[in-house]
Amino acid sequence: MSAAPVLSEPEAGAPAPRSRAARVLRGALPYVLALVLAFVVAGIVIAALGYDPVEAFRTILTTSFRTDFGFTETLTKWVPLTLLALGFTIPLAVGRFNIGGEGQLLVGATAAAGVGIVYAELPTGVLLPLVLVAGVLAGVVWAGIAAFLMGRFGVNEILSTVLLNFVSFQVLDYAATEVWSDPAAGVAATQRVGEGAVLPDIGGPPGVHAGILLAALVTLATIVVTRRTAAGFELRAAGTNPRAAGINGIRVERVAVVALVIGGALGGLAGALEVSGVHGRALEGMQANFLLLGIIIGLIARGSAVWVPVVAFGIAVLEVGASSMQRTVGVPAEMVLIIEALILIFLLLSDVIAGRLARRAA
Amino acid sequence: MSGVSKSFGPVRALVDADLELAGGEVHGLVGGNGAGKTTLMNVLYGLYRPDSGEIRVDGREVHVRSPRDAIDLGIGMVHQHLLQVSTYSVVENVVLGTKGGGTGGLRAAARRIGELSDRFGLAVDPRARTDRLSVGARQRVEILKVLYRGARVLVLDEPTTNLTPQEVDGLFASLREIVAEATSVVFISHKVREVLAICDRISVMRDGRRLTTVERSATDATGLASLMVGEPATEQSSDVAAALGLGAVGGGAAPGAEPAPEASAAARLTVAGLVVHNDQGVPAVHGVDLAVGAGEVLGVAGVAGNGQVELAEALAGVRRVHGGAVSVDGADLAGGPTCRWLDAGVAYVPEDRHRDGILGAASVTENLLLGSQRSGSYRRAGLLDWRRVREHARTTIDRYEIKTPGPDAPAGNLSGGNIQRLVLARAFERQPAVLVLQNPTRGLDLRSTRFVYDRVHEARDRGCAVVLISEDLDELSLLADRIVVLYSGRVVGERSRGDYDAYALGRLMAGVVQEGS
Repeated sequence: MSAAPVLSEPEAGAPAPRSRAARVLRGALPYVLALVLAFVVAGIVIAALGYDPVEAFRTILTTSFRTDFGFTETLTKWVPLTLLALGFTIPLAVGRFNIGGEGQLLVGATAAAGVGIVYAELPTGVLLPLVLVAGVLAGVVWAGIAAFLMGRFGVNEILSTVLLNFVSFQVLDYAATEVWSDPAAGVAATQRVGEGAVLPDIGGPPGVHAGILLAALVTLATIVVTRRTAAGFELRAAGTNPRAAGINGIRVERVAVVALVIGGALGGLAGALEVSGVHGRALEGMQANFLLLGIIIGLIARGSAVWVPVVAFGIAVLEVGASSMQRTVGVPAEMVLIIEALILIFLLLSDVIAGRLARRAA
Repeated sequence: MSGVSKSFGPVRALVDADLELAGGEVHGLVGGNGAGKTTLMNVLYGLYRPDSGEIRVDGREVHVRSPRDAIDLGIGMVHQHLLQVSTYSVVENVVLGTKGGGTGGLRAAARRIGELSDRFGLAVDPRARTDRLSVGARQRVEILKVLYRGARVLVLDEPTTNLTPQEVDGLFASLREIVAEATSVVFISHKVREVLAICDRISVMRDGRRLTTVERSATDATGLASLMVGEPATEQSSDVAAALGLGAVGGGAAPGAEPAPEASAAARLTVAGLVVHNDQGVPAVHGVDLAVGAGEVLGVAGVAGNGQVELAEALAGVRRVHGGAVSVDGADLAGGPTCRWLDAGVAYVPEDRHRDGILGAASVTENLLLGSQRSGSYRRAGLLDWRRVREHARTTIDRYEIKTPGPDAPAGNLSGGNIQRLVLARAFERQPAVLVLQNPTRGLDLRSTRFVYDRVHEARDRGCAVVLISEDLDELSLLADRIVVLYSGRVVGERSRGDYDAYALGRLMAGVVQEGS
């Protein structure tokens, strides 16, 4: 169950084209094709549903850039999407699948909200770091359970992380209805955290919460660690060829355990930022479909920490455009999920076709 | 089968190979690793398509495009690695791929399997779950599967590797029953004694060709062993020696035959009572003792499948040591993680360089860094200093003459010889105290072979303890100061330089004689 087909660079193995420009063009071609094809197919579906596809796409693609509100909304969505995508791609580099992003996000949010409520009186300088650390630690514990079972007993991490998602729903539900319940909220939600736990906005109004800086920092750190440190090198080596890595002294299983735990930490951080920056509390349904989108982003970016934030921005644009499209054109917002899935499917398909062509040419 | 040729890229696995199988015989197919035995049978079974050649069944030319074609023609094969669905019952595994599905079908199938297993002495419970069975019983299931489909030709690829002596006896009794009913058996093996015990005729393969076929009654262990191992001065090996400028193998004048600089009395590598299991959890090395001094090259001879891989990986700290001790310069390493072995100065050149030696998709530079990524010389302020890594890679590429489009080219695209240079470069840059090599020149051209030999000499001169595990007796005679022979996971004999007799070694390798070592 190697992740190699997903992570392999499209040009690897193929004879190198002559110029750099040609190589870039060849590398970009599958992405352009996948995008165009996804929109063409989605356009046909929208037209078949009786809506105007041109108008729908115009709304999807421009909402984020036409209004301040749209742009803020896009950046706000970018934060959890990027963090969950990295939480997926870091373990993926060693061929392990963290499908527990939403569970890690929810326990992170619950822990963050808990700390923010219990110590509501503390000043920002103390409480805010505490809240974020609590979220990260909860994510670490949550992924740590799956990582321990994987490292110690060989339990498949896909199963354990997915199943822990279901447990996390109940953890949040318990906190939101029994421990810190806020009956006035209308949905299952905790009370609001103390003022000291709320992240300040930057810019605006409307502003983006300062957690975006933290997410950018984490992305940068991920890039530096994977590319410039011995640990990152071991991570990539263990993923490329576990046998050769092991023979050369890398403890592949330990690397995988650590990678999964780090993935959990990022999920927990995403949860804490949603509490501190967006909702001011933990509430049911706050995980949206970040897990699914995170996986899609990670796969479209082919596991590259450099491309994850870029792809995450694109997906955030589509997501924000989707609700606007539903309001103005009437096309269900779920249509966008179909587009996102189609992009990924066409991208993977283009890999298969490119592989076949290369083999035929050889 | 006649005139069968098959190449994998530049490697010619089969060169105009032929084989004739009579009805109702057990036909032995012997030869060293890479001789083409398994490849030839995979062609027969439709797993590989031959580049040329023809296959005739009962005089009629046939085209076997897939195992399904082979089965339709009555040809069945049991592979060394059993291919079964482990959670299925025996019956389900047997009928898998046949048209006998359905519940009623299963009951009838179970009855037939019971009959077959009674008739041929292949004891197995048809309702048992496959993963609960022993390796021997799972192999019986595979044979039943072939018989159930009405095969008239049964190919067994090294069937005795994981069997106990009792199970081997049982298997042989069953094979006798099977050929008594006019089914033919091809028995691929490395083990002379077993081949002589069961086969009616024996074909010897070498370098992708069938060398000869002999009647069982017309040969004996010594004769067969020397056929398998080859004459000490076959045309090909003397060619190699001449091309390498080494003179006749064993001649005192050749540079390779110079005695090692006085090996120091203290052993750098000591192995005592080493027990190692194979991937199936079956002991493959049983209590091996070795001692290798500084500047000494110890050769380990033996036919493949006698515990070499397990021994090599245990000595390299890659495979778990189940019993005994391995110490380097006095420090016991058994049970420690691989990185501690590396730190102690153990370097390993694995047999399968593509699978175990390199990160195929990573660059040559990264591959040269592998294993040294934590060393202080490549780090600055906690980060990897890629400039220094690349500089070092460039000089290493020059020094070891690794032919690559550049330091950033993927290592997997290099030729076999250059991959081996890369693996050796990485091993040597660590200034090893102990060097473990397994079949380091297999598949290499003369230039690269020579390169490997020079590096081994260099390591020896530097005071390194070298363990050279090889199936090539010429190579061992050339490089080793001492040769031990491994058979069935035990050291069955030892010879010192000047006392290398290919026939005597061949007999030891084939397990024909054992001597107290």
